[in-house]
Amino acid sequence: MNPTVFIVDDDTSFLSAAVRLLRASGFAVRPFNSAREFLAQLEPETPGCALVDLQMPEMNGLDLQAALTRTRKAMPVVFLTGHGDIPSTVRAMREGAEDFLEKRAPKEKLLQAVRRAILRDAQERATRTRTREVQARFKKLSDRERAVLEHVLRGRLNKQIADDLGICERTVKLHRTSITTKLGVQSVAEIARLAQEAGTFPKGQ
Amino acid sequence: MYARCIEALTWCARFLSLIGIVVSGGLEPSVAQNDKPTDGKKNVLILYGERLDLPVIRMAEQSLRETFAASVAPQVEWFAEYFDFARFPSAEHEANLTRYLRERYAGRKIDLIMPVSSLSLRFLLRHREEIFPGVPVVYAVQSAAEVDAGALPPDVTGVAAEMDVRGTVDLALRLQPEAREIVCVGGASGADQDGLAQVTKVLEGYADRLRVRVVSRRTLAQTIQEVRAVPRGQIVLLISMIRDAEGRALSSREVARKLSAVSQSPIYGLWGTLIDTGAVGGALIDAGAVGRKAAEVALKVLGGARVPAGSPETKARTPLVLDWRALQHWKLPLSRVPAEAVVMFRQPTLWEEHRGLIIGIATVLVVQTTLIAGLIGQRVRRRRLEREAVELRHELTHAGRVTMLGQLASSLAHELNQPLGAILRNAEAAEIFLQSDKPDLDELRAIVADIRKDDQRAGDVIDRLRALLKRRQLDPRPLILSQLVDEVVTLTRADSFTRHVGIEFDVPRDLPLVRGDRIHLQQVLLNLLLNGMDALADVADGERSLTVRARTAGGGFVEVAVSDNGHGIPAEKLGRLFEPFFSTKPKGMGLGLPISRTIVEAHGGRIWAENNAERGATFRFTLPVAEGGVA
Repeated sequence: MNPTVFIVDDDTSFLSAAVRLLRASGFAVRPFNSAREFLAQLEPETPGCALVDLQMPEMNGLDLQAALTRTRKAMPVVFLTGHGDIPSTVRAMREGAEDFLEKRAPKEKLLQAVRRAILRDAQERATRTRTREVQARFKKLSDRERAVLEHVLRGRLNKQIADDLGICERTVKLHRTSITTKLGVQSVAEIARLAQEAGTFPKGQ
Repeated sequence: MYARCIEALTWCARFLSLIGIVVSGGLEPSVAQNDKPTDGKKNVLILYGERLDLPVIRMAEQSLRETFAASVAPQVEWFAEYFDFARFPSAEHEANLTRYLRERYAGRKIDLIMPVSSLSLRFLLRHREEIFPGVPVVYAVQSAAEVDAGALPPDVTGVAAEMDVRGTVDLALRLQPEAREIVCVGGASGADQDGLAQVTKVLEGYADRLRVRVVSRRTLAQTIQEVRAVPRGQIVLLISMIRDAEGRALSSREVARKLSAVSQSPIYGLWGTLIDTGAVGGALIDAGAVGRKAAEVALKVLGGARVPAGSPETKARTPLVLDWRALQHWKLPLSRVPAEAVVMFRQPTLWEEHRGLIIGIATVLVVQTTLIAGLIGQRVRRRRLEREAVELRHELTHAGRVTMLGQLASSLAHELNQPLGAILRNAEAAEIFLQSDKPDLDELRAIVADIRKDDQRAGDVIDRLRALLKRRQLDPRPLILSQLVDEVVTLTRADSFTRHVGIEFDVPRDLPLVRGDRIHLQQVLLNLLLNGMDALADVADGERSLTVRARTAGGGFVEVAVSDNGHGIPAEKLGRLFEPFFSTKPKGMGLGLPISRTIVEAHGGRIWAENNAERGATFRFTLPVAEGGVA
């Protein structure tokens, strides 16, 4: 799917001009007149980035960013402002804004920011896909296997794990074989890397 | 006004003289001197040879009387007889007069006799021994030619005026150096002819400068005719004209008046009677001076002194007398008038004549003028102060706007960057389109149209900015209030965003039009909104709210209210908010609200502040509804 630039600005004049420029520069563009309109029509699977006017009536750019984060429809946001003031900039960057540009920033800067945002979106999407896949692998583990894995990752020996869990050492070995099979890895080091990729170590239900 | 001043001054003069009378009356017994003879008192008999109605006699009589009255030692009591010898010349009369005088003054001791006029002197010399034997005589005659001083008895002396021909001719030549002819006018009588002969004799000495022409022994009409024919710029000398060729009795005065009326050349004369007839003047025999001099001689004789006839003490002066009006009439320059000459009837002698009056009036005028000038000055000063106050108010409102614009910097940048950003994006897009082999012309046209539109938008912002920055007078027009509020809220949007203040507004579109100056009212609203935002600084984020409401207030007014939910205004400061330099803010200048009040009041409205029932404060102001102003 082609990455799309979502442009959100209440100023229709600027909106159409920006749409023109980005289309001419080869981007797929979707214009929105307000933050609400954009949120309502946003499809999470569409890759790309958002180019958002910071100052809009009702819901402004920062509110939009917060909503995106809340609804887990994460997407890199490039803010545009007529006149950037420090408090708004700080808040936007803290909440993960991709970039913060003045409306009269030169084309190169704007396009660069958009490209970078799209690239990051692609990377994040890849990371998210991989994470979901790794997490899916971990989800295949049984509760007992999860418990054994936890101990293994803490670096404990089979004998110690058997003592801790009150099972025999052989059973521990069987669980470990099952874990490496389910996760598709060979070594403890690989298991540890996967667990890190999955983010939070998934706890048993 | 003038008349009233004269009246007042006359009254003053009277009052002062009254004081004088009272004072002198208090010092001396008010008894007439003549009523009470005292030792050493001398009796003088004055014999006038002419009628009293002749001006010469009247003048002589007056100066005699004055001189004698003023004399203290000897005191003089005088008697007077008037003989008309000119008209009653017969010897018969003389006999009657002699008897009359002898009988009349039989009981009195006459100490001195004063014949006035040569006829009188001759009569006395003939009959003195019959009437007043041994009584000294002091005469006063108008012409020395009439008296043979050398043949007089030693106790007869007196004053005889001499015609000052030389003095008069010199004066005439001084006034008219270009004159080439002198026309001597005389009568037909013996005295006239005597005088004329004397004059022509003197004039022989001027032969090199003046041609002499004599006009005499004519009728009055002929004389007038001939004088009228004298060319401009010559000298006419009227010697005397007691009788004309027809034997008509005339007075020189009357003749002088008639000649002056027709002559193209100035008329000069030798006699004091010439004054005020239209003639220019001359070295004039002054009958008054002759009389005065004779009286002085008489007093000396009475005192026992000997004053021989013909001595210097008996000479009467012939002063140079000129008539200012005649000088003007014949255009004789005043600069040629000798310093010693007396110029009479000078018209602008108002000063000399009415000095006191003029000073009085001038003083009144000066006082009045000063007063008026003072009042005008005061008025001018007040006007200037008022103008300065208005100016200052404009300065202040202007300063207020400039200050506010500073506060609105981010809003303004935003307002401008929006259209400028759009223009830039469009231009950049156009560049890209133009790089392709077959540019999309429709798209390019749309871009150009958009650029144009955005440029207009940016221009509008700048215009608005300039209007705000410009010093300007109040220019009230019908305004749609909702539009005004929209504009101001747009202006503050960036700021309200930055400060996280939500501005709500509730301004019905169907409010009546108000009458006001858009820029000034924007300033008021902006000021109230910015104040409101300041008041919300301490309020928790997300709770800050600012509301603009407008309602019809009745009485032809619309009320606008700006409410915040901030900290409110301390009760003790509520009353002072609109005072200049009073501020509740740490960095406030204390000018925003006074300026707002000035603006609102200049519109005929009112502005005030109140605390809300729950929290925060509300500022309200009213504006008059525009005439016929229903939106």
